[in-house]
Order: sequence, then structure tokens, then C-alpha cells
Amino acid sequence: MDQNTMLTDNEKKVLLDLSQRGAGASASAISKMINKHVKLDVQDVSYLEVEKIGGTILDSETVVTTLYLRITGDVAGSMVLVFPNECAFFLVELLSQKNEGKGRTKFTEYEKSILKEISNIVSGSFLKSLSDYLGLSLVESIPDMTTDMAQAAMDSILIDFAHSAHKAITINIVFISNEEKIKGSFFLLFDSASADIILKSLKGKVNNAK
Amino acid sequence: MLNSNEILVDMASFSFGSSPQILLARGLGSCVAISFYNQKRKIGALCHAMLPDSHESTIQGSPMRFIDKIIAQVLANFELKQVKPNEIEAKIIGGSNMFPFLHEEVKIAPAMGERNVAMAKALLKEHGVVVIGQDVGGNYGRSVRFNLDTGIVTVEKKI
Repeated sequence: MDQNTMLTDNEKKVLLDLSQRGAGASASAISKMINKHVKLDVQDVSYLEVEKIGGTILDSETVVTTLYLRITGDVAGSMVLVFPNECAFFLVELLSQKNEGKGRTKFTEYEKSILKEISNIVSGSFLKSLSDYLGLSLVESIPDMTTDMAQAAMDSILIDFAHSAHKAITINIVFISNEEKIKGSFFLLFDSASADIILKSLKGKVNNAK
Repeated sequence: MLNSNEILVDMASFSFGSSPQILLARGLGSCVAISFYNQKRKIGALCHAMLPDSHESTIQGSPMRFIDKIIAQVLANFELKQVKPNEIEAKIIGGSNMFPFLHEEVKIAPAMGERNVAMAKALLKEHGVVVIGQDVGGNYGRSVRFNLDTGIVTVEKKI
């Protein structure tokens, strides 16, 4: 993909469809894990200069819990899970069956490992679905997490892209549930070269199916 | 919401202004903000850079991503106002490492915060700008408020 071009409507559509497939796999995995119905809805796919991405997706100074992992293999990318703190505490208390007290801002080590496990479940099922469909090797790193201003976390994530990519594809997914407290966002970022690889392999798929 | 005298400085950009303006940079992680101030004229600039060195990059992105380019640009703006580097005082904020596990142990990508701060210091020294304050490093985010009337820089943390 040329660095200066936009996504065509068709490219955007195939990326949305592909993401919805991955999101479906993630939703069923997390629903099973927490025993509540959760849907992951793909909101948008955009192609922006790296420094512009942060401003478009989050309220910059709100304190949130961000889980971050890198994707390697045939493509280079990142997956980012952002939970409002209220949701992150709700999830760890639900899974640990323990309430460590209201009004706190820090997680215990055990709770952090629960959140990382949630991240593994969501990202692992998403990537497996993608990699099975595309026939590409996608390897995920273990996740790291921080609880701080949304923009500060995103800033560090974007810097990992900024030295090698002018623009990046952002896939924006939200968590939806009847359970009011379950809210969150899930972002996938791929640099231009990786987006190219994904789109090429999708094209191959469509042609083979004809 | 911003007041009419407040200016938000986004990632990979800088803003040049004068009293009574207030320059803001929000949610700095490994990014680095540098405040530049000339007390006598009450003019200054705040920059918000992402990476240390434009020479290391192979891509054609915004040059304002890089500390070397952004410092040169800010000093050119001061020069237009007949302010020399030795009449400017600088403060450095940010350069933290939000994901130390991924960056230091798994080494999935180089940790840039520390390098950003080192580069800012080295280049300011080279240009002859004196650094009179800093709040850098750690594993937490910062927001910056730079008052061009007083030259005071306030750093806010949320954690």
C-alpha cells in the first residue's frame, strides 16, 4: 500500500469483515471465560499518520487500564485492550470471586495476572481466527499492562510504530454486554507494509473462492 | 475544554506563543515535552516529540516526530524574534517507560523514553540552551501546563 494513499472502500470493507470474524471468535472466548454474554463490535477501520491515532480514539487524560502486546511473524502489529478502571475491577472480582475493597486504584499481582489472561484469551482467539483464514503466521508476545492516563499508554504504543511507519491501520472494536459494567475498547494496529500483506492474502482468498 | 488562552500541543508538533498564553501537553508517556522560555520578553514554546533522532529513521514521516528536528525548528522561531539560544531557559518533561516488561525484558521494541531525554539534554547543550529543570523517567504518564506569563511549568500525574 502506498504510504500516501487512503484505503479504498473495498479494502476497508474486507478489513471490516475480517475483523468482525476475529471479533466473533474473541467474543465467544471471553463470554465463556466470564460466563456472561459479551459481544465485540467492529466500529471502524482507519488509516492515519501514527501521531494522529491517539487523538482519535480515547479521552486523553482519563485513567484506564491498558493491556498491550506485539504481533510478529508475517506481519508487524500491536493489539491493545483498554478497560475503564471500573470495568477492569469488575472483571477481576468476577473471576477471582474476591472483593479487595472499593475505591482502590491499584491491582494486586494476582489480579494483574487475571487481566493478562483475559487479554491472552481475547487476542489469542482473534489472531487464531485471522491466521487460519489468511494462512499467515501471526505470533503474539505476552502482554504488559499499565493503569494510567489513556494517552500516556497510547503514546508509548504509538512510538513503537513511529520509527518504522508513517501511517498505520487502526481497527477499533468495542465490548458490548447487557452487563452494564462491561465496557472496553480493543485496537489492532498494523503498519502499512503489514496491511499490504494482509490485503494481498485476502485478495488471494477471494480469487480462489471464485 | 480549553480556555481561550490555552493551546494544546499535540504529539509531533510544537507551539510558539507569548504571555498570557498557556501551552498544554497531555498524557505524555515515552514522549518528551520541552518548554523553552525567554523571561524578559515572556515568549516561549512547548514541543511534544516522539523519537530521538531523525537520522535513524528510514521513513518519511512528519519531521516534528523527532527531537533533533523539533529543537532546530523551535530555535529558528526564537531567532526570528531576535532571541539567542543563551537567552532561553528550557525544562524537560516526560520520557517514561509505560511498559517496562515488554520493552526491557521481552525487548519487543527499544524503550524510547530514556533515549528521548538523553537526546534532548545533549542537543540543548549543543545549541547553548540551559536546562533549568526536569521531571523525567519512571513508569507513569504526565500532563504539562506551561504558563507563558510566569514561565512556570506544572506537571500533573494521575497515579
